Amino acid sequence: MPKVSVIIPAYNSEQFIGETLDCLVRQTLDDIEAVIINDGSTDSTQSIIDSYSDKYPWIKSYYQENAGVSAARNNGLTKATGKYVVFLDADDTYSDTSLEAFYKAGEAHDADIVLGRLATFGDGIKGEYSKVADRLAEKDEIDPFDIDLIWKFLVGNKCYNRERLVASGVEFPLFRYCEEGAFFMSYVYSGVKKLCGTMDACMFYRRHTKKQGLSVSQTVNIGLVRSFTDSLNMIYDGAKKALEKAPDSVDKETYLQEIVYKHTHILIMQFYRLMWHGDDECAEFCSKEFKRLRALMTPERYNKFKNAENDLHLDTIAQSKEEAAQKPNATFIIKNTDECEKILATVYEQYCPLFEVIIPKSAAGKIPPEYLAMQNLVVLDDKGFLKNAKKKARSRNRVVLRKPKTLDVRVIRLLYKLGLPAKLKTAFYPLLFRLMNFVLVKKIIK
Amino acid sequence: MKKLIYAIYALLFNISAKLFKVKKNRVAFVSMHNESFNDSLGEVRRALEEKGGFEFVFITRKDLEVKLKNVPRALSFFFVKSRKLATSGYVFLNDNFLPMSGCHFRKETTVVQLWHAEGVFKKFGLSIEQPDEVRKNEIESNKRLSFVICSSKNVVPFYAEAFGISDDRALPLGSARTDWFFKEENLEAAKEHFFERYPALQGKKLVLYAPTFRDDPEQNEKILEHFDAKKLSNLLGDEYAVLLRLHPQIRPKETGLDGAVDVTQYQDVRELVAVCDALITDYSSICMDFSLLDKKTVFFAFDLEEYRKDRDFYFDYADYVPGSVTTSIEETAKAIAAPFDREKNEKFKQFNFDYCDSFSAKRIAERIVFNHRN
Repeated sequence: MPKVSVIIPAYNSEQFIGETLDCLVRQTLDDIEAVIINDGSTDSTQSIIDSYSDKYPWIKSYYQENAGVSAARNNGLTKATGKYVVFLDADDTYSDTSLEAFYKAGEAHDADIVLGRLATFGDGIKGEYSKVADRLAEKDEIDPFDIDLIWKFLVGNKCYNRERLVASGVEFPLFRYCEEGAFFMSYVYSGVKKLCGTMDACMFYRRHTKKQGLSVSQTVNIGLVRSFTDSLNMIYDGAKKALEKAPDSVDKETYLQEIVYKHTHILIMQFYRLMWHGDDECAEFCSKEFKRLRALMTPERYNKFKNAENDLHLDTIAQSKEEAAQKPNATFIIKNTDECEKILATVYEQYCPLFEVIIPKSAAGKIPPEYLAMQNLVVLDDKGFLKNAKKKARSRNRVVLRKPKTLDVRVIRLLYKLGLPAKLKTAFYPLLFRLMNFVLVKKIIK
Repeated sequence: MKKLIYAIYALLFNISAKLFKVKKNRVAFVSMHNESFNDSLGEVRRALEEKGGFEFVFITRKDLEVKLKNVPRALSFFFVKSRKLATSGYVFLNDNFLPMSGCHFRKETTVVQLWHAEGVFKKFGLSIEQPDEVRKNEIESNKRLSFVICSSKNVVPFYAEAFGISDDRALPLGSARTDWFFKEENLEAAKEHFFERYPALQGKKLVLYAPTFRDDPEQNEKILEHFDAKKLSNLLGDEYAVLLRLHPQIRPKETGLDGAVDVTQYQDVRELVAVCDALITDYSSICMDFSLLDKKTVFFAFDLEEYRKDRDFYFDYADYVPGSVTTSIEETAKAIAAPFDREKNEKFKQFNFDYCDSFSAKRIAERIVFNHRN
């Protein structure tokens, strides 16, 4: 029996899977196996895999018709034969001593789950270690109800005793988002006895360069947000049930609050705030779901969250894009026809969705029609455009943009939070806007 | 004189450490033993090179030699390398570096003692009795160490004692020096080099005699008086060849070499370990290498009692060593021809080594440098 099996779901991974397999070849642990599930790739993924498995007999690959990452991982689990099993994505890597460290810690503590470090790289980052993962990895014994576990769902920095995992019957649910969290927490709640950490294993999680403009819309849609909510609800229900049997030393109320808080946090930060990248349904769903979660939160918790995100006016959260467009925190007036599209792309990246855009009619024909469908975009006649725009702007905080330039995504949000009297802010808004953007873009403050 | 030199060095070092910031990718290797870095330092350097992006600083015994033609080098050691050392993110050592006792590293610098031997055998470091002055200096130097690397979990408490550090700072990551033995290409190259130089030895069973250096010159003289190479050769017969490797400071008399091939000048001792079939030694830690490679060692310890007075062992000598103990050439020859005591060797090897692979330098690089914790 190999010591560790590495399950790798691969879908059109030709760009990075070589790096991933290289890191396995370099491992200091002997007697490992790689179980690659080619999830119906249409690129050269398979031939890259073959070039490796020809050379290294312990690299095995299987093909399945495209069925998604969860199905591929579950499939891999049935093929794996190692004492321990880890799940690595086809664009991520391990440090060279990771599998040895996982195996040693697993053996030393007779552990069901071993957690290692986690570092993000790519997109200009060299390797940023997660503090939450480090706190866990440092521990010899981790409480199954440790709150930090809720905040690190990623599958790659965790190693499982295979036979016990299989015996538990827990599998990856076929969700499209956050399926790793639902899997991991379900297994934790299924009654695992021993979780431990190791600082000598580290998974490097590749962050992909974010595309500018509306093309990011694939990351925000009703399917994903529904999937995410299903996942978190599954975790919440599982926790509730598991807590019934938990010792009294566990603060059950605080624990459940943490799950609700995480749910709310991601819902708002990753979906609601990006509403202009998603469909109408997504915004409406977020708002409805937020209200349900609000009722589950303690007033203290809710107030803290609301105040931290005060630019969203969460007490009266906008129920739709239509409604969000009615009460902007700021209005952008784009006084440029030829480069309007470029400017729009940077404006719609703003992390606070409560803004309005006014463009001249002459630009309307030169921009993608998706923009024209935005409820917060207003088109005015070129004649007397600037004067008219200033008059028609729904917000008194107006900024005129004449040419494309780098905008930090946080500008409107931070200006809203800036502790200045509202009147003063409005009076000097264009100046403050430029100043704030300069400071953020030049990274003078973080 | 030495004290004054160290004090000046420490002063220059400390000024740099106060003035300049640490460069995380600058790595210093301090080797007071040899200049060729064919030991743990070299292996760790290779592991870092593989990853790339590091700047290396090398400090060797040559930097400290007091010779006229060495003046420019010494000046650079004092004025340039002191600054480079003070601003290194990582410092790797393979022995005590006494000038370090007065040096105050910045807290961002990680100082790692790799040591030049594996496992435990003779007592060393603070475990032996020393003059007060030396001991004080050594304790002070050891305070600069962030970690000491050792070859197995079992030897952690011994290394902690020898360096006066807590157990959790003696990391059993394996010996980087022994990585070399587990790379097939090195063994091939070793054979090639060796037999190119000694073609007549091809096909023979090679027995290496490598005695330990004694501090007392009189005792050193005795070594060759006791070791009658010619007699041993005759007893072993044509099938065998006896090789002799002495400490560079022991000048062999011509007659002492009769019947043996002198390999004292052979550059890389690891190659000798790789090509030889058996070892004869008394108290040398080279027996660790032979044990690791499942090769026989005979312990020809004619002056055990005297030596023990000078330098004690951690365990009962005869019981602990991975081979038979002899006091005469006849016994030694018999022991060489006898079957290999696999069980005794295994016990010794298991105790001293957690890893029999070529990845210890990588483990050290990962744990200390790549996977850095704040």
